[in-house]
This record gives sequence, C-alpha cells and structure tokens, in this order.
Amino acid sequence: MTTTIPSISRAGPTGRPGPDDAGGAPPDGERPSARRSAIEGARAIAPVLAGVAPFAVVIGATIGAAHVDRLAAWAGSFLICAGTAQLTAVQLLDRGAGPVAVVAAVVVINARFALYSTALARWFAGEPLHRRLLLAFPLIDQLYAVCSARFDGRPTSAVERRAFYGAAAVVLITGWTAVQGAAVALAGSLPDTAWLRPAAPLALAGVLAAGHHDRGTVAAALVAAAAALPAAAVAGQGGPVLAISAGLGAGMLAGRSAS
Amino acid sequence: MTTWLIVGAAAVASYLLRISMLVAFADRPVPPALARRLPLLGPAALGALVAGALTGGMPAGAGPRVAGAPLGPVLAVVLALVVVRRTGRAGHALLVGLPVAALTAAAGW
Repeated sequence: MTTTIPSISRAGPTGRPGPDDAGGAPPDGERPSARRSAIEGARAIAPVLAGVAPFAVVIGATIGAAHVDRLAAWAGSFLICAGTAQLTAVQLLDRGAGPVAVVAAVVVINARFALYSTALARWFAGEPLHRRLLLAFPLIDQLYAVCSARFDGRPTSAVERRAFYGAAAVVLITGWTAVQGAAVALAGSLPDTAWLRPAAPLALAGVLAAGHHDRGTVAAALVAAAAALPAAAVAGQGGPVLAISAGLGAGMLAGRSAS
Repeated sequence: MTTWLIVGAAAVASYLLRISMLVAFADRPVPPALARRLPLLGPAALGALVAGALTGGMPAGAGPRVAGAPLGPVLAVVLALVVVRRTGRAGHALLVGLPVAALTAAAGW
C-alpha cells in the first residue's frame, strides 16, 4: 500500500469544483501542503494505532494458538484489513466451520464498510476511479473516523485529503500488521494483556471527542452508543450497522429540530 | 491452502463492500440527501464502536457494571472524553484513560 503522490483534482468533497482545488499546473504550495497533510495524517492516526495495538496482540495470540495456517491467517491482517472480522474468521476456522459460514460472518461484520464507502465517494469525488478503488482498500473504522474528523470539520483540498488519508492508512496498516505478526511469532510467551483492552475504546473516544460537534453529531453519537448493546442482542454481528443507523436517524432529527 | 482460499474470499467480499458506494457513485455526485447525513456517520460509528467495545470487549469481572459494561473502563472513557473535549488532542485519551482503567481494574472494577 503506497501513498499516491497528488495530481490535481478539479472537484471538492461534493464532486463539484472546490474552492481550493485549482485546475491546470500545480500551485506553488501544493507539495508543502501535501507533505504537511501527510505528516498530520500520520500524527493523527498514531494514538489510534497505539489504541488498537493490544487488539492486534490478541488476534496474533489467537492465530498462534489456533489450528490454522498461521501465515494465511496473519495475511488476513492486511487482506481482510478488519480486526473483528479477522478474529471471527480465525476462530470459526479453528472450530472447523465451512468456507461459506466464515465468509458470510465476515460480510455481516464488515457491512458497515458500505456506509463508509459513501463518505469515500464524497471525499475523493474528483479522483479517477482506479485511484478511488485503490484508496478504498484500507478503509477501516479507525481510518474512517480520523479522516472524517479532519475532512468534515474544516475545508480541505483534494491534495490534502489524499495525502492525509494515504499517510494515515500506511501508518495504521503497517503498524497493525507488524504488531500482529510479532504476536503470532511470540504466541505462547506473551504476558497477559487484558489490562490493555480499554485502549481500543479509549483511542476511538479520543477521536470522537476531538472532532467537530453540533447538536446533530452529539445526538448521533449518543444514540448509536445507547443502541449498541440492544442492537447486538437483536442483530448479533450486524449490531453495529443497526446502532449506526439509529444514530444517523437521531442525528438527522436533532439537526432538523435545531434548524 | 484452504485457509488461504477462505481468507482470500473474505478479503474480496470485504473489498467489495468498501467499494460498493464508490462504484455506485462513480460517475455522479453523492445525492444531497445522502451527503447531508455523512457528517453524522463518523460520530455515529464511533459511538457504536466505543459502546460495543465497552460492553463486549472487556475482561469479564465480578465488579460493578454500567449498562452491561464494567465500571472501570466506562469511567476511563468518560474521563477521556471530558479531557479531550477540553484539550482538543485525541492522544490525551490514552494518556488519561489507561491509568484510570488500570487503577480501577486493580480495584476489581
């Protein structure tokens, strides 16, 4: 996975020409702007990577103890690129589940990516399709959250969005894959990491709190959080999609009543 | 080999989900009604994921619980939210929250 060095986009996040997206020759400030955005992206994702690292250790240790092809299961860290789905797949394979059951479980767990994909379509509306298809590959909760907080909070150019997203993706996926690989290699001799488990929700809470907020976004976050437990009880692995949908509905209602 | 094939199939399925809307809106802008909802998607997803991790991803213990989640991690997350809201630095969530989570875990929460 590489960060594509920017070419000029003519479209803003809505697909229409953006105020800071110039056509023609690259403006003088483009490269420094791209470099600055890439550094910002790497910095923004770093605490989130620290937060998900314990989860990567848990997955690596599970792979190490499971009766599966370790290399193939570890490759899921960058191929499936989604921790919960990968962990579920490894556990199902270890129990002898069939291919259809494993893939179906992964699809249900990752269904929320279709929602994130809509945002990606908007952020990178001016990019050629092949580049957008490449940018979609590492799309995952943490990357989406960090970029959403950055892109939806203040105006950004296409160059800045691409650099920020690309750098954050490279740091996140590289770190995630490396930590998981180390945990697979060291499985069996790892200390208990249970005390680190709150790191993942803490890192996500940090991204949530640091973002731009109005009445609608606060309602969306609170209702989605409140709905998470009952949604999981009702829909199992599809619970997050149900909870997110409830949050979206509440956010729209709150935004409408505020305006 | 079977594991490789299954992981590969799962990867393809996940990727198809990731590109679904990119392909749907490949040659037209995202409809305004949908675009208006997108700024809500991040907070909603984060709210659901934080709560889901607190209720389903924490070590089981006999300590007090809040809405299905152990009290210690909940306190840590609430404190982290307050601190980050004041400082605006997402990284402070771990700096503040992890010690609280560790201390409350030691106290059996």
